[in-house]
Amino acid sequence: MEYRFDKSIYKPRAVKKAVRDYSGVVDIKSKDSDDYISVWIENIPEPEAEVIAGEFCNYTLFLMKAT
Amino acid sequence: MGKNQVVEVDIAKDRLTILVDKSIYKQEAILNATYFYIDDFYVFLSRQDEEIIKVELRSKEKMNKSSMEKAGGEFYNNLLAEALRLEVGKTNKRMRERLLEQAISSAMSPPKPKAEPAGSGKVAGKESAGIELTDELKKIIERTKDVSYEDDPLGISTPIDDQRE
Repeated sequence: MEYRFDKSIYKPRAVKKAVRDYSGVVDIKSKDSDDYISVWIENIPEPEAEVIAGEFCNYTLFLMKAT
Repeated sequence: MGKNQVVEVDIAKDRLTILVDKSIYKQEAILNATYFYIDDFYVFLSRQDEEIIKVELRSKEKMNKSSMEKAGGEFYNNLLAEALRLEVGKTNKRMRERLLEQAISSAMSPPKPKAEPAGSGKVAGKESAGIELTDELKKIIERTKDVSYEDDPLGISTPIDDQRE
């Protein structure tokens, strides 16, 4: 499933760091576009995929506050 | 459709969708308000259009409709609180910076000069270089310039037992 993080809302640095941090535990990839960063978390069955995706979004928000 | 509203409560998916008008609430206030929810919800923000930010809250635990709607209402209260906090912070920014400047300046002030001889009526080191004195500080200095610690107007140096005798 693709999650699009709008660059006008989410700091790109925070999204990229979250991707790096999660890359050690899940199959995750991202693609940078002009307006957003797309993130895919793969090879995780439902319902765990939704949980991990949700935690990823929250973690990104946390990084925005922390950085 | 109104611009600020809870547009969808999807009980089956434990999802709450809220629209927020950026022309009323600053984006920073919206982000700050969402931080209250990351313990109990998964939070995702997206842009619906130039003026509207869509906030999706997905509950980590099963919730009933009433609780979801309550969370939606509370979101706006938190949003208002954050908006107010930003405004107050902006107003007080200059005062905070000034206080910080004085504190740092005071910490970095040069060593105090030698103490004046006892009984001279003068108190050394009242004005340190680098500190901009406020009117209040100037008044205090004026009132105390002829006071020596030896005068001890409040009787602080006298032990309590001696005072009772």
